[in-house]
Amino acid sequence: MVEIIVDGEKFSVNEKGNLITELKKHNIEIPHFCYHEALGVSGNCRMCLIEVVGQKRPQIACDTPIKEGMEIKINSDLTRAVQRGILELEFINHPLDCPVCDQAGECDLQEYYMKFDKQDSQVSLADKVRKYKREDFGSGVIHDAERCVLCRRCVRFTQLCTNSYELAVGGRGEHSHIMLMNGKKIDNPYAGNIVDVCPVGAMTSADFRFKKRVWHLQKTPAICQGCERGCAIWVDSNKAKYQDSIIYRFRPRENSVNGYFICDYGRYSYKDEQIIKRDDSAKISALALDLRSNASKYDILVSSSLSIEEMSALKTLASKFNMGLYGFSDFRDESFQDEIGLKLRVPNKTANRIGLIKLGLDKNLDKKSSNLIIFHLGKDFEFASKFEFDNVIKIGSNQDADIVCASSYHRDGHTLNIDEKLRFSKGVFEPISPKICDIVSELMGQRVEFDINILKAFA
Amino acid sequence: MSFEFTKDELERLDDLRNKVDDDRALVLPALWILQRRQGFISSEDILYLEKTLGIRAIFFAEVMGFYSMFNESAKGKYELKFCKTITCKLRGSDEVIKAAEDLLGIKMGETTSDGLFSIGESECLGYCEKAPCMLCNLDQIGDLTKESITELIDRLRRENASR
Ligand code: SF4
Ligand code: SF4
Ligand code: FES
Ligand code: FES
Repeated sequence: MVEIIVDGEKFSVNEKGNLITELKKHNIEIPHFCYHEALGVSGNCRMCLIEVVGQKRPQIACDTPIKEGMEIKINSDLTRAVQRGILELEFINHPLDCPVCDQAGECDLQEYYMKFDKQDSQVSLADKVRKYKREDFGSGVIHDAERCVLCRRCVRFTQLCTNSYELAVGGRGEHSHIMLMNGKKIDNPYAGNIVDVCPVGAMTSADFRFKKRVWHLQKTPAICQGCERGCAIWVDSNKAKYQDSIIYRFRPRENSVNGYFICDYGRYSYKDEQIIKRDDSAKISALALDLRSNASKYDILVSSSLSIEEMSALKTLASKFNMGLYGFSDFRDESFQDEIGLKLRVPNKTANRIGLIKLGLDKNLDKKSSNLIIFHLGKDFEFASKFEFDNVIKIGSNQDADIVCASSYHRDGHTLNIDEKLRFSKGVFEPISPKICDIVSELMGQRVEFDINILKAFA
Repeated sequence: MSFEFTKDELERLDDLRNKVDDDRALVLPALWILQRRQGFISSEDILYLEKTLGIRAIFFAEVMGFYSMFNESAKGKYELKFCKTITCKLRGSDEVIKAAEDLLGIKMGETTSDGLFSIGESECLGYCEKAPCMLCNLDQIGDLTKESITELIDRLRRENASR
């Protein structure tokens, strides 16, 4: 760690780090487009130019080595002047279509303009270079060439992160544009991240386009339940007046497990996690009644999609009524594993296989009683057909369930990922359907309390 | 017939490969060899380069798009590339280009029907002291005027008609 001076104030930073990232840790933002923590320095956009004391000319912060005692000025007149200059250049051919752009509200260019620029363009709309406004790049990525600031983040993502090399910069000067090779579309399981790395509205999501203005979205930190990696995500949801809450999208949340990215399977899994409006309370009461007299004829099967809290609640239930308790975690899909690239995806497509093992629930169903109650969160109940019982009661968060419960995104819960890291996912909004722990409480006739010490063993 | 490197050309490229630490350094030389011999580089040729040299096609495509000197399709026997950058513009390149277009009856980017002339644009040729200037194939020609371009085109037409 060394000390540097920013606008007269001392800060201690890692000298091996990048100036932009190091200052971000102190909540100091240096505007930038092309630099990205996961993609490294490119030095092409010049948005990060700042005044460095002792240097004749402004320097790009992204590629200025940190030195003990160095002094920079990020709010000086000189820094402001170059920022305005760069922004003026960016807007020469910009279409100024923020009102219809999905990125508006989370666009770096828009933000910097409002912060530092606010000047009129010297180029009339009629004189601007026109480019493609809606090119389908494949894999849910739509490109608007007019909004592009040519920072090459998207290109570098396909080169450095997915090794798929679908994108490049074609042309030169004001005619430069992001292109596909011979029109060959983007084809990789992480394509959705291209929309996220683009600092402006030049890459938008075919899925999210024109669905919701971003400032109406409420963001909740959660964990993707799509596979055993347990990537950190933001769940963006909204509740319109007189309507139920809707999840609009999942986005990666910067985290040591997944870095800056998530896979497309996980990203679009939000579609299976919307509220299901069905009132199964009568069925729950009937089951509760039956358990009270005939519990021993039931077995319980827990899938590895449940949280540790839910699993241990079911353990309590099973021991109270002396029912057989079994686990199921065979959700393997070999094709889901990546050979190259980010390699986030783990073949087991549920979040808590390790949790299931650690709680001692990985017991295969051997004996057969006549009734089976299956608990499973997530999109399909297909595996349930494996079990030949006279009577199977499916309790889960999808339409196939006999009793619908709240999904994994509508309750708080812990899971253990493939590397045995404890992951905490926060409920996005209050569900309409009961949470599994509530159902268990009702079946038991008393509130199940979760013993927090169970988690301490995994932390 | 599609383009193929000769044994000698391949050896030259291999020599070069041994001297550099990034194979992409071969992109420009390979494109030059191809264009000098064939006059243009098609998208099939780029795929051939990818296959032969093991360098991704998209890197060739990027470079092709950047440099106006590389042609994507066949051009006339004489390729006139007028500098469109500022010095030449201030010294009257627009007028010279207009004259060439009128004389040949084609617009920038087009080729005459007899296949003799193509006209196109180029960035600064580093010849500003003789602005306005252009390239005629690989020859640099400066101090262009309406008269000198007329004379050049007439001469090339005569030379090719007499044969
Ligand atoms: S499309 Fe976006 S990420 Fe790609 S170069 Fe343009 S602005 Fe940068
Ligand atoms: S890798 Fe797994 S946890 Fe991460 S986003 Fe994809 S499905 Fe979700
Ligand atoms: S972020 Fe520094 S030049 Fe782009
Ligand atoms: S501007 Fe034409 S040669 Fe330099």
